[in-house]
Amino acid sequence: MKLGGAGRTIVLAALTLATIAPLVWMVGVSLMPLGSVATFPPPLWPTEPTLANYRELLFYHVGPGGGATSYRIGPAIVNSTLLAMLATALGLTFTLPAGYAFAKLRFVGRARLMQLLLALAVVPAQVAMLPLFLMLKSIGLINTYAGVLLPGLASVYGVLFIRQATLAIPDEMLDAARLDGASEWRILTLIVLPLLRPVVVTLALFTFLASWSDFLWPLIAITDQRLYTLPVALAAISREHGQDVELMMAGAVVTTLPVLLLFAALQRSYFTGVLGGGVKG
Amino acid sequence: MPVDGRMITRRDVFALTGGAVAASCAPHGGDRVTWWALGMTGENAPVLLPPFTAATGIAVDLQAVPWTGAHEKLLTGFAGASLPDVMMINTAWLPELALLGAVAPPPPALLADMLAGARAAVTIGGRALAVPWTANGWVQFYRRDLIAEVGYAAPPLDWTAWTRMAQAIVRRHPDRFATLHLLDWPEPLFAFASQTGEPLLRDNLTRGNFRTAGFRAALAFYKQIFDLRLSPMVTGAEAGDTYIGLRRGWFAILPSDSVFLGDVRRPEHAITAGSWSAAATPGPFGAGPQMARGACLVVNRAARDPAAAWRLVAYLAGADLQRRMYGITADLPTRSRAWALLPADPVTALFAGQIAASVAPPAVPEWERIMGEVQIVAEQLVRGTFTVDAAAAEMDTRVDRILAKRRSLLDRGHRL
Amino acid sequence: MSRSSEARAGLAFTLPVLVATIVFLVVPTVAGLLLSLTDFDIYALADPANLRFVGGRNYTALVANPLFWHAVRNTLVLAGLGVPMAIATSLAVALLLDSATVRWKPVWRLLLFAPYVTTVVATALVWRYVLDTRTGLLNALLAVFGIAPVDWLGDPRTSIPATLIFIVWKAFGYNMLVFVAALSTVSTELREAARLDGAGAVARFRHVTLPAIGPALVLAAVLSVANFLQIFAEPYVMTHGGPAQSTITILYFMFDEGFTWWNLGTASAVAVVLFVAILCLTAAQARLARRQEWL
Repeated sequence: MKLGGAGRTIVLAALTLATIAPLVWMVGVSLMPLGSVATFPPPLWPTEPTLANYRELLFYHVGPGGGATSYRIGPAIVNSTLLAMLATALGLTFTLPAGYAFAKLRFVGRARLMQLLLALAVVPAQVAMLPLFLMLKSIGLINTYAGVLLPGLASVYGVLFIRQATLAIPDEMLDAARLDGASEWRILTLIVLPLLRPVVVTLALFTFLASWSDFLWPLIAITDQRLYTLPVALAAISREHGQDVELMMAGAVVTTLPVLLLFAALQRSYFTGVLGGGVKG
Repeated sequence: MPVDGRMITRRDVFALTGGAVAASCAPHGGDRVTWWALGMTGENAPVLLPPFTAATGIAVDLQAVPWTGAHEKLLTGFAGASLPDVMMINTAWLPELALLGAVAPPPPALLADMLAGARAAVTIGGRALAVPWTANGWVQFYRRDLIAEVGYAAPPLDWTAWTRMAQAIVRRHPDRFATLHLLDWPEPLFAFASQTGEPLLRDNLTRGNFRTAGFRAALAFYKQIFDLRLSPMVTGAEAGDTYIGLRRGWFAILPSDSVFLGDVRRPEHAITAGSWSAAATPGPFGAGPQMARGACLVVNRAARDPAAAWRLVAYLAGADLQRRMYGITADLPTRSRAWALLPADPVTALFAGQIAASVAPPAVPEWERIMGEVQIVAEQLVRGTFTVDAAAAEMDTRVDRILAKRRSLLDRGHRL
Repeated sequence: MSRSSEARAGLAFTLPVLVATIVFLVVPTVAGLLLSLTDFDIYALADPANLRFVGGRNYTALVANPLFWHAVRNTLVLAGLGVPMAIATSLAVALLLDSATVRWKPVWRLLLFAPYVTTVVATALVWRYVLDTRTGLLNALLAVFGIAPVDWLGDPRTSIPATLIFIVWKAFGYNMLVFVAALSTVSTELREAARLDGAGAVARFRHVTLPAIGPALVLAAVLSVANFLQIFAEPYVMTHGGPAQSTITILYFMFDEGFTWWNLGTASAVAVVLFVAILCLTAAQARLARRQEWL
């Protein structure tokens, strides 16, 4: 079946509509009053939009007996944001120099270490989680930011990604800088990083997204409700208030919207980074 | 939203917020006690705390933990050494926490005037290890009009007559159901089984005892409910809002516990007063005893300030506070004096009778897991994977596997 | 002189990652292996003196545990159905996007990629309601076409396909981009020449496009399998492993044994088994990748 440009556009439009329909519905339902969705067919868009669900989610609300309580989504937002920013900063600090070094610096054992890292890229994180929990417990890092962040620092894919992109930089450029007496650190920060900007943005976005959406490890490593990240808090609320659909959708919006907006804002760099240099495959 | 016919004004919210914030701010050099409370009780408990803090200067850090996942959270907290000072737990979990050595025995004064069954439920190896806080039962809540439609004033209490009534309801409204038995809740099946008089574990609580005639009869009755389409085959996640379901008449009977009484006070869940009531769970020959259910307060053996923790427990478990709790969340008290203060109504009286006649569940740490595993097999029985006899045998096999460690430790001479 | 400063910098730059990897990946993995040889459970948590070294007993117990095989079966079904679905979807959409005559390409690309960027827990919740039997969006859509409502998440037979619809929806965007990049490398001269020779669209796809992107396809497939073997959050949030344990995956089983019941010995054994499976897969991937000079 041969489709002309207009035909393809229509099919793509339909596909796109179907793809984002759940997300649009999510936003719509979050603006409906409680109990609206429990009908067939379900409403598609609120007739009387209300922010009540967001208010109940984010601020203190009053229970039937007069007790004021809170779902603690506010602290969860703060935790998720701080942790994601720290994870990105730390992640970049660890992987950028290493990626550059593996690509462009000659040092003893480089090939051997490269092979070791490649071998380790294989290990799925879950194998390490149980003993990691016991290890961190013994030094008192369970239920702390550090406990959540530290295991994520061993990101082999980040190193490989940066290395892949750095290989494309011509050696002559770097040798010229070395002849001028520049230290490796200056070369990295003043020459290599600016050239790698889309790749760095991509890696930063990826790291931020991975940390923001991380579920299994924070679920295990945090027991104090005040330190919950958004996914863990949302999962906890959903187990108890699962029938309050509208409330859950508001929670889902709060959890997905920030990263979606971030991604939309940085999309040009991001797409260049993924499509242009260093596609992981 | 209106409560007691009066709008909650912004001023109320600020006042309560301010109170809650004040309650959670540590006074200068004062003590802090951390407390985990479960479910609706936890969500509503903040209003109970300001008088305590004002009187003693001890600030309380309350965390409301949802019931689902609470057991995991407790164990993870123990493993990660991050348990709070005071915990509200399901009394059935006490043997497990006792085995872990996580709880400290209460001062005997706190156990005075407790209902006999409640006190027995927290006594392990001859020692009381918790203070009973709320008592519970398992009953059928029903829509009086839907039952009356088929000629009954109340649901019958023996299985045969009950089935006849349920079939009449379904015949009258073929697109609806008579009851809602959720496939991932063990309580309904165990409510039937506990009335048969047979113990659920044998050999010093190291093996399953599910192949007895009594339990198999309970299994057959449970299966029949689904075979005759008296209940939909759904889990909690799919059932949606059960209160809306009861209000709309999708089913006439909702088996539940005292949580129901608290939940129907929420405006979204309100069912017209007088249109519903409660009856005991039917048994093979009339209603029989139920397994004791309830929650208790425990103090962490590793609490930083045990004295402060016990003061909080003493405050919470007082008769007046238990009476106040009933007013807020409909949690039933464990102190006899508090019961005397409750308003008299038939539903409360029904619970009182059940609590008085209840029997303690087997005191093994694996009990939570055993109940879950038995229900998983029961779900497969309902879906046709097993026959009744095969299901009973499968339950024994799985429970024996769960209890294997306990068996081997006992065989080696450990005292458990 | 510059050689030694280069060498020093090289070691200094790589040291943090190496240390982190050894401390937070290698050491725990080895510890996990050791843990799988003990009978660590709630009794050991209570009193470390209860801990015993039991050798391979956890593994034999796993082999004899029907629930473990059930989890393996569920995971393999998920991967077996899901990987073709995911790859085919990504490829189909990439082919649609790969055309000079399509308008507003960046818009479609951005929106089609959006699900990939969302948080699993949140969107799993959303889809739980989309798939709701009585009041869900999907059944409402089917009703428009006269199809009776399907009990997506309540029937053990449809729970895996339902979960897959969500998983593919969420994940297809990434490979879509990968394939768009791969398709852009297919020489236009070759395609033009084939078209002038009278080859139809299908023939062109088979003989020009497919050989060019074949390696990328296979690579993506192998990576996908590894991802599908590690599915956890979706059953945890959408179905709690049900109905009738039909959506329990290997990782879900491991989490349950380890963090719900604290049978760390059994859970570690499951983790090791999973590790070996993924090790084999990624070794295959490495061999394929080497052929592509990706390394």
